[in-house]
Amino acid sequence: MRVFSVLIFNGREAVSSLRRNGLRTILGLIGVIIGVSSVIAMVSLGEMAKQQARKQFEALGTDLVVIRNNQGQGQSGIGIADALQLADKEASILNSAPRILGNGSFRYGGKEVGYGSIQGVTRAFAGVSKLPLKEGRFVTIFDVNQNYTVVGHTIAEKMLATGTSDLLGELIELNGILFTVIGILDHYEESYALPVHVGANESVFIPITTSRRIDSNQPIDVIIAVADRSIDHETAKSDIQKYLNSVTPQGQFDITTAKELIAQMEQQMGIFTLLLGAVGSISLVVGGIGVMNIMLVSVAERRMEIAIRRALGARKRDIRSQFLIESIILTTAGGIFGTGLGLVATWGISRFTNWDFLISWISVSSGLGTAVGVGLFFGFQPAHQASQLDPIAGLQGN
Amino acid sequence: MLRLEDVRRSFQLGPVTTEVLHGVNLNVVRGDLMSIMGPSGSGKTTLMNIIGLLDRPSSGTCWIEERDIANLRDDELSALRNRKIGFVFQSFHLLSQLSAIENVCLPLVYRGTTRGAARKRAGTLLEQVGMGQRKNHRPSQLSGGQKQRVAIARALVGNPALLLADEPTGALDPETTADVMDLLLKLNTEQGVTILIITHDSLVAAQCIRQMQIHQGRLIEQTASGEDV
Repeated sequence: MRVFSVLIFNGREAVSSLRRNGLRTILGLIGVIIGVSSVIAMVSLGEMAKQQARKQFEALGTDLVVIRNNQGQGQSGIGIADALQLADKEASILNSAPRILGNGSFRYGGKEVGYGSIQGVTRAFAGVSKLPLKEGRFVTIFDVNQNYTVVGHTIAEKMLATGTSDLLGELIELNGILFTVIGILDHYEESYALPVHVGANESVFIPITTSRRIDSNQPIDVIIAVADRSIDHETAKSDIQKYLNSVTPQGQFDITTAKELIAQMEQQMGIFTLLLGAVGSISLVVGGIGVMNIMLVSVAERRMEIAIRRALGARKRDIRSQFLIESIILTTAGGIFGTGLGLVATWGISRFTNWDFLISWISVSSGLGTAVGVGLFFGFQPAHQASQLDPIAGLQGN
Repeated sequence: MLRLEDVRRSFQLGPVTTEVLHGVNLNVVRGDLMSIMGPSGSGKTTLMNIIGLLDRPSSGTCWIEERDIANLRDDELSALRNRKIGFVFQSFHLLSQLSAIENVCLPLVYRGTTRGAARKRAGTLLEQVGMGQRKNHRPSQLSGGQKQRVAIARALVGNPALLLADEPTGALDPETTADVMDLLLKLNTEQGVTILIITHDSLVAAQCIRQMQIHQGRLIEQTASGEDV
C-alpha cells in the first residue's frame, strides 16, 4: 500500500520534473527515439527482405527440385528418355525438364548476331523457368530432331537490327547449322530463387533431341523436376535418388529441393536481420548513455532536494525509485515516439524499394521493451547514486 | 520522550579524529519548549543531526520514545524520522517545484497516506499556520515569513513527537521573527507541541521555557533565574 502510493507520487513528480527540464528531456528523448526507431526500421527491413525473397520462391514454385549432373565431361550421364520418364515412373514427381547445355556462335543474314548458350530443352523447361514468350511458340515434343529454335531477347534484337521486320520463319546459323526461328522470347529476369542459371537473353533454345543428334557426347547438365505439393519434399528427393540409381547406377547427382533452398535462405536472412538489429541497437545504447548522462546531471543538481526528502522521511529506496521512474518514463516515451518514427521509416523504405510494407511486431515489441530496459539499466546507476547521498551534507549544501 | 546519555560524536578527517560532542546528556519531555544556543563550531549542528535522526552518536545512547536508535537500519531510521521528527530549517528548504500544499503533503506521502487524505490534512495545517489562502502558491511566490509558516505546517503535518527547528528565524527580519516565534509559542501552549529550537539569537532563546547552552561540545542547562545547572 505504502509502496504503491509512493510509486504513484514518484511517477507524478517524475513527469513534472521531466517537463520542467524541457530541453534536456527533449535531447534525451531524441537519443532514445533514434535508437528505437533504427532498431525497428532495421529489423523490419530484414523481415521485408525475407518476405520478398520468399515471394520470389513462391512465384517459381516451392515444389521445384533441381537435379544437377555431377559427372565429368565425356560421360553420357542420364539418357533423355530416362530423364523424361522420371515423372511417369515416380508418383511424387509431376513433371521433369532436362536440359543439354552447349554453346556456339550465332549468324544471321551473313552477320554474327551473338555467341552464347545453345540449350536443348523440352516444352516443360519453359514452364518451370518461366521463360516469357513474345512471339511464335516454344519447342514441343513434336519437334523431335527438328532444326527449330526459339531465340532469346538480346539475340532477337540483334537480328532485328539487320533490318528484318518479322523473325518467325527466318533461318539462323547455330555453329554452322541452319535452324528455323519458331519463337522469340521477351526480356528474361534471372531469379535467384531458381538455382539454375538460365541466361535466356543471350541463349537460343532448341529441341533436346536435336541437341543430342548434333553432339551425342553432350550430357544432360540439369533436370528441373516438379514435385507433387501434397508429398513431403524429402520423400520426393529420395524417390528421385532411387530412380536415378536404377537408371544410371554409376551416376552422380546433386539433388536440391526448393524447400531446402528456402530454409537456407531464411536462415541467412535471419542472420541478416539479427545483424541489422544489432547495428540498430548500437544507437539505442548510445541513446541510453545519453539518458544516463542526463540523469547524473539531474541527480547532481538536486542534491539539496534529495536531502530534504530524506529529512522528511523518504527512504533510500523511495529516492532510488523516484529517479529510476524518471529515467524509465523518459525512455518509454522515447520508445513510443521511436516506434512511430521507425514505422514511418519502414514504410518509406518499402515505398522506395517497392517491397511489401510489413510491420514486424517482434521488432516493435522488442524495441519498446528494450527502451524500458535501457531506462532501467542506464537509470539505475544515477538513481542508486541519488539514494546514497548523505542527507546531512546535502542539507548543508555541500 | 527524547533522551541522550553521554552522547559523543567524533569525525575522522584523514589521520586526525576530532570529537565534536563530548558526552551530551539531554532529556526532552512531552510539551517542552526548549532552546539550545551556542556559537558556530560548538557542535550545534552535529547535535541537531543526532536528535533529528540524521546521524548516529559515535558512543552513548539516544532514545526516542524508549527506542534506542543505535540498532536501527537506515530504512527504520527513515521511518522513525518520518513519524517522530518535524524539521524546520533556517532556509526553509521547501521544494521549489511544488506548491505550498504539496510541500506540506511530503511527509505523509513517504508514510503511505493516500493523496486525498494527505491533501486534506495538509490543508488543515496550512489553515492553522495562517496560510490557508496561499496553499496553491509556489515557494517563489511567498515571502520569507510565509515560507517558514509553510515549513512549520510541513513539520507538523505528520503529528511528530518533536518539532526540531534549526535557526528558524535566522533568515527573517525582526518583525517576521516575532511572528514566527508567536506561532511556535502558540503551538506549544495551545496544542502541546514539543519544540526544540536551535539558535544563536538570544532573544529567540529567551522566549523558551528551558534554555540550554552548548559550548565546546558540552550541553549546559540554565535555570529560569539564569544559573547554570
